[in-house]
Amino acid sequence: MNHANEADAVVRAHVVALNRVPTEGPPKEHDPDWWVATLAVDLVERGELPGGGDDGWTVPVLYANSLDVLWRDAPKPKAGQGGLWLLHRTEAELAEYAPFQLIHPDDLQPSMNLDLLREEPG
Amino acid sequence: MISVVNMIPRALSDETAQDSEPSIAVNPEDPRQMVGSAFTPDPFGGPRAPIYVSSDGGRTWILHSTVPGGPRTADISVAFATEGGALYVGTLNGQTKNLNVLRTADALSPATMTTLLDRPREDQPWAVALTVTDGGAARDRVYMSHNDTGSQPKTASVVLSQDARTGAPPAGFDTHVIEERETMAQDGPPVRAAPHPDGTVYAAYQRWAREVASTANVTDVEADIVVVRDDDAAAGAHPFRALVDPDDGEVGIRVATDRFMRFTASVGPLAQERIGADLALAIDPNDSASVWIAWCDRVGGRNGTDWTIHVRHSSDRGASWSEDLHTVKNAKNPALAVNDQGVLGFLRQRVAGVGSAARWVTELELTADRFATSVGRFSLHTAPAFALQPKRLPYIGDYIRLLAIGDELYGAFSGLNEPNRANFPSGVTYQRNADFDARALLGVDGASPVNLSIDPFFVHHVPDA
Repeated sequence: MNHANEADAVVRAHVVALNRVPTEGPPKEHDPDWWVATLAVDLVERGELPGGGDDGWTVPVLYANSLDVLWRDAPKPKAGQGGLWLLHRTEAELAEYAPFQLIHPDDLQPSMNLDLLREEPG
Repeated sequence: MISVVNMIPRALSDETAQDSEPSIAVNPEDPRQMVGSAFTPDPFGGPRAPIYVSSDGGRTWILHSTVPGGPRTADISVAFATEGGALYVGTLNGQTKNLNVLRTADALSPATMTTLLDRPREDQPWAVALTVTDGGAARDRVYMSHNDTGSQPKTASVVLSQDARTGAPPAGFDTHVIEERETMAQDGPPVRAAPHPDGTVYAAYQRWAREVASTANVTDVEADIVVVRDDDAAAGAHPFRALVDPDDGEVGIRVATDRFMRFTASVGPLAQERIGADLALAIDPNDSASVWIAWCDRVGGRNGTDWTIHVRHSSDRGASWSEDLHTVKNAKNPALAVNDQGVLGFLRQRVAGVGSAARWVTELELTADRFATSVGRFSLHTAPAFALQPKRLPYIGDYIRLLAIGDELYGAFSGLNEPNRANFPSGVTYQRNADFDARALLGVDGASPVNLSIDPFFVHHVPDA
């Protein structure tokens, strides 16, 4: 769970909506195919959600839905999927779509790993 | 003589990764030394991605995890300088996704390569290198062609160094945009360079001129195939301006214009492979005026279903070009190389058959007379195109590679690893454990069954005595 220390927020949540980000500009071979997953949060374990959101809030999270080699291993949330989500703050133009994104294959963990996370120094 | 070798080491007999999009480099000073690459992850999930290394002429291969950027890279291309043994690598870093230009003085060393350049918003680096002696000093000229999407709308670019062997980062590397015409917003992903020791350097790219139509996963464009040239090793401040198209007065000869290309970001349409970005360029080592190009487009236009390779030749330093000397329908991944006997090698992958009967067929064709006759045609690999569910894209790769050292040709391609003799009409050698009678892959223990996957294959052609 060392990877969790690199996250800007860690929440326990499930997916309540999935929406594709409108494509802009020419196509790229390694286009991430950005989507936004809306997570219904029942526990904020670490970090702070926008607007001071807390348990019971929803938070939009950007993810790459592309099968391209650059993005294939990034988490691809499914409708209703629950778990422990390790969120990374978006930067530059990506912040327009969502305050957080999923980057690493380990950014989605089983909820039962919460106990493991709490045993790690934060 | 032709030989084909499955590059997966025996110690990795359990592996089932989709090891597509291979590249290969051969040390001209010692052709027993070779380096290969593919989308192969580090077997231990470590912090560096592996390259394939051979020290016995490609008969056996091992992995050295020497590429920084996480356990797996995206696009990767490798090239030896012609002297001195330095290896240069262009890759999209698996973690940052940046273009990295890497160097190692000893390609067989397990030490992490040195990062010479790190740039964001790039695509498809393609490495070529050669060594020249200037004033008694050997210098490595390195050309890393790439699609610099950070320089839109003109993105076809070459990052190059005239003396890359020993300098501290960036070792003289500097990027030059070679597109001069207006584009629809960018050029196509593949850009290729072909240098000659006499200082001639060609580069080719796909100028995306107009967007025809676009959906979420498909973009139809009209594109020109453009060749530029430099006569001084591209050493000047504004290189690659020696060719001017007489029809529009712009830099770069348009070998073909208004070609319909379908660029896809989905599984298929060529069996399970995406299409839209195929380009190859090769120079005659004995005659820098002689240069070959190959690309793919859809001859049938918007209502067509084909994806066709076209091969053309120039004998006047790129000033004028032949019509199509050869075409291959429903094919991709053209790779060209000219040996020191003037024989052109043409490696490609095509889909034969339709539906569930479709097969990926990898072929090497040789010609010494611009395809008037063939001096060799080898079917290297044929395997069902829908045997596997793609784990990622590309399925077999957006490119393969062919090189010439002396009169010999060396190549790499990826394909289904089913150990079936019928799939390898020219023969094959596996290092990984396999039972060809049972058509089954076996694990490291030599007994446990292992699922089929995509593997890189090494191909070597030696002319008959």
